[in-house]
Amino acid sequence: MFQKEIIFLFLLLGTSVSAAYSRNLIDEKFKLGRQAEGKPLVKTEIEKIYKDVFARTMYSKCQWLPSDSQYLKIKAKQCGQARGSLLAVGRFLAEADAALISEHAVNDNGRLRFVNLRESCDIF
Amino acid sequence: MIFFNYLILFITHFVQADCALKTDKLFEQGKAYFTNGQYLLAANQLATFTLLTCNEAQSLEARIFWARSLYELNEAVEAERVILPMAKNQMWESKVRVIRAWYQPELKQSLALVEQDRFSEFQRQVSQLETIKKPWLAGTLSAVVPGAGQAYNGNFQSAVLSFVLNSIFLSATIELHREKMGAAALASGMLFSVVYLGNIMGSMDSSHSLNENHQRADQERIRDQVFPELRLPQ
Repeated sequence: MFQKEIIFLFLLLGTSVSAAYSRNLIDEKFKLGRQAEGKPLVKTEIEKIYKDVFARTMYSKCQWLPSDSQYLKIKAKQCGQARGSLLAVGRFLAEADAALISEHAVNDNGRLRFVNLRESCDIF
Repeated sequence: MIFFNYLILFITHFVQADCALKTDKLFEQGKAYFTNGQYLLAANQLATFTLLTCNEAQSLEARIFWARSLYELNEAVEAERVILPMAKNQMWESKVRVIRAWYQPELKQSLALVEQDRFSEFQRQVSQLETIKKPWLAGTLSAVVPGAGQAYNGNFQSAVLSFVLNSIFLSATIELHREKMGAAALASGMLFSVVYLGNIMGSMDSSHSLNENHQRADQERIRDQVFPELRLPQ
């Protein structure tokens, strides 16, 4: 009894409805590359191990654009290491609701990714 | 002699008409790309148009959108190279000044002094826009109960994740401390601190993002009203 209704309610609560409009992936990646002088698109050794081994094994795909590691580098440069790291952790926790928070969406080889990179470092 | 004059006039007219016919499409397409936010394509199209066009007025207008596309792509140096020669032209000087001030925050303050009235009017109107979330409230809620700020923002999945992760690290820290495993408790405590502070910062950052998304259309409307120079092509 009420099984369908309960399932529907859970689905409704668990579904993020994107408020974002779509943009061009090439432009977004170009902009991000320029924003940190080309650095965030170059992977460090730890990133390579994580992305090429662990992420592939676990089939973990980041919904954000830039990815959390790129975001950390950009934010650390913009707002300092401590604030940048904490913002990156906060963003990692918010990934499930990326569609709700993002500025706009891009189509990355058939996969939707959500762009989120505030220019400001203001917290309050 | 008269015949030759007419012939030259005819040929010039024909060449110009042909040139306009070929390049007009480039200009229209370039502007359409710019309006759609496809800035790389817009820059390419408009750069080609300025090279090929015979219409001086349209060429200058295209340069403006070419430079704006480059600014949008964070290519400020290239954009300056395109737009600065136009500042010498009296007709375009004011427009160039506003565009440079708009896209380059470091110039905004100095150029805002020249356009002080308009900049303060823009800021006044933007500050009056409605915000849908209060970052301080989201932060406070997340500090009291991890995940509560995210729930306040309407991000229920991240609220659950924040709550669960914080609970795991906090309980692990307490348990390890009870078991007299100092080093492990310290490591777990440090992880908890990072996740806890990240949860607070994340909820506040999300509130800001939600407010910015909510205000974007209105901000663009105000920008177009106060700075007609920055209006998108129709």
